[in-house]
Amino acid sequence: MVAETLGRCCDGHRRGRCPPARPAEPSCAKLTDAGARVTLTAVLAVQRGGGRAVRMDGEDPGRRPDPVAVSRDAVAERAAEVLHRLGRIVPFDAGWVALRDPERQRHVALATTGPAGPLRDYFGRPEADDEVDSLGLNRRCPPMLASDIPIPLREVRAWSDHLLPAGFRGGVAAGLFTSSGRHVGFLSLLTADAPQPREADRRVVATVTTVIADELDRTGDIAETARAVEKADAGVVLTRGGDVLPLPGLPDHRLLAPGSPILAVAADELAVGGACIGFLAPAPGAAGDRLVRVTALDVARPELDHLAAAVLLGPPGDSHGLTVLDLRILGLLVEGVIDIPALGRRLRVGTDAVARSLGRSLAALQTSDLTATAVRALRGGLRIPPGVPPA
Amino acid sequence: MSAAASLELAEIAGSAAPLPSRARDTLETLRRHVPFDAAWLALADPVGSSYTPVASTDLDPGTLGYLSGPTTAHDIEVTGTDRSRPPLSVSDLPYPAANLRTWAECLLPAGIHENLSVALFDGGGRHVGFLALFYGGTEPPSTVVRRRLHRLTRVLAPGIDPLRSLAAASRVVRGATAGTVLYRYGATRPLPGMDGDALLAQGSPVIALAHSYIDDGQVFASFLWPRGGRHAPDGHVRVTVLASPEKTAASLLGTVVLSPVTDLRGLTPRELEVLGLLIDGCSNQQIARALVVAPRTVAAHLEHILVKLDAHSRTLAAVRAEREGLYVPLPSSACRG
Repeated sequence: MVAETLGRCCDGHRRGRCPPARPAEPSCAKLTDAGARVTLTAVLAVQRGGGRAVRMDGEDPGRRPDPVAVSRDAVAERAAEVLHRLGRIVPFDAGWVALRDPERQRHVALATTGPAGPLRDYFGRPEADDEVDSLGLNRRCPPMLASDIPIPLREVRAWSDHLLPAGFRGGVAAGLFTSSGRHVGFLSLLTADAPQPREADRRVVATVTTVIADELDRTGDIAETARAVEKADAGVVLTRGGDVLPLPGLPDHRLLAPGSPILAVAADELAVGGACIGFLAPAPGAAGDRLVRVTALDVARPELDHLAAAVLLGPPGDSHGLTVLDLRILGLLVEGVIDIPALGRRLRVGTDAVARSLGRSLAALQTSDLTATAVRALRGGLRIPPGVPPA
Repeated sequence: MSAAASLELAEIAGSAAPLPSRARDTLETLRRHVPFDAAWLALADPVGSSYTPVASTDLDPGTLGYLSGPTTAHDIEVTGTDRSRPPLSVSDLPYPAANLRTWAECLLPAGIHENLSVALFDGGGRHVGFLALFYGGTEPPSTVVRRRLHRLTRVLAPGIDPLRSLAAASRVVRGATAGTVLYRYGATRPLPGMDGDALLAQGSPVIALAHSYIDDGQVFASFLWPRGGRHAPDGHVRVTVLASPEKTAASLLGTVVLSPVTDLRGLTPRELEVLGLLIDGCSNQQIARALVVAPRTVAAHLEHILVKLDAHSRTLAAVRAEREGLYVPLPSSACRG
């Protein structure tokens, strides 16, 4: 019944409209001017790259997470920092910052402050995501005050079953959308005191949600890691469900389109083990032997979200004079095909050609047996896996 | 004004641009807030006492060459400008500038008479680099300029920190428990935010192996290492070697990170040794010799290994083990090419 009511009341939201915005109060107008934005941004900026002095409040920046340090959980640390800083500009008793996994349709808490247990309980329920969605909070809309909800709070399950019994009476919530428009998470700030948070607080939260979303967007971290591991010309983030997201700072590529064989090979190989795999693939549209290097990094944090791998394309590097046939044979060798007639059949070439090719590979990789050759080919990424189609 | 400068500099430091271009942007932005006639921004080499320039403006090649040399490094040390302290001008010294060789032989002849120099440290007190602003006039830098530079100093280090990309790269290692930064000649330094480990001490076999992987041009390598001795009385630990993508810092090679081993597929320490030699390309004979056992024993081990790895051939077993990170390198392996 509750869901029905919601469905009706929030029909407009379902069709993608945001709740009507209230007229701005003159006293808050300065919050939207550029100077104020910089200040708020600075208050919240927990920048990845550094910049300890962005704190403008004169406080010791020492407790900020060190951007250079290898953080065991960088994104959660930044989320905690976001709540800490929000606490200085918006009044709330409990705060909750979560990532949303659109493939499993669930929210995972990154950081909480105050008595956030009721929120945790609520988001642990399977129907939570539906309700959040029907409230319009899975779309890019201005933050919603509890008092904006067009039906009595006791008819919203989050409030009736969890938040009202815990003593919360007011709050502000917002879907977190990055500056590129991707929905990454959810922010909820609750108070025991109904008049708060107010309209002015909504505007403050509205000013910083994009900054917060960019802070929590894991694709930024993934891009930094990818840049550090491989000099790539193109790259994407692959999700668990096979979807493809942009990798900040790198263009995409048609070899890395959703459903492409290269992405399938990369995902399959990462599933077998290892944090980093590399192989070669024929470059599209190129006559002859032009190749691209494919590098895939396992970036999965299944406990957090659906982002699974970074897949990068770059220059092939030194292929030690090996031909496409040699690299295809090495690709099969790595899959455990070691029998010369079988290799010939798979690649439709004679056994003599296979034997000559293996000779070239042993010489190029400076090995004396097939086992060491296969291991070298795997380590150096000197192979074209059988799942990679011709250009 | 200083706040805006901090923010601008922090933005550069946080940008995705490569280190040399971040360093150039840093100097350009700095110039708008702290005027100078010429500037030199350099990385400190944590293993030697030298500096690698990453950006400069308005300095001729001769001066640049001199500043990167040992004399300047020596003078920086002598004047204490390599310590964490407010910017220092040559006129602060109790003796004339010409008493320092860098000034007598290089800067004064180049028409430089004043400067402000400051060492750049990260939040953890690690010496990252050095900044020198030069002036053609003889007037000592004003208090305002000094203060402004002093306030901006701590935003400068992150922008040129070569460890930043290493720290980012090491995030591919899940559940890392310890790590170290590897420099030329096998020297190691702590990886910020990470504990050290006896296995990662300077001169240890793990470090020597990591060094050889990076020398071979490998960007990424992962292997197992027995804890507590060759027969792994304390189990195994995963070692991941990541080469530094930063070519600017020549002495910086990469990082070595330890993490727990998740699944050994039920392989015994002895079987892992046999598997390691197999991966190196050893024949059964060679494995028998290396482990001082009978060839028949090796054959029996291999049989178990094939079953545990669900492989129908030695090659597939080796590839599967390598993929799953089950390779245990033997320092004495005769078959590794």
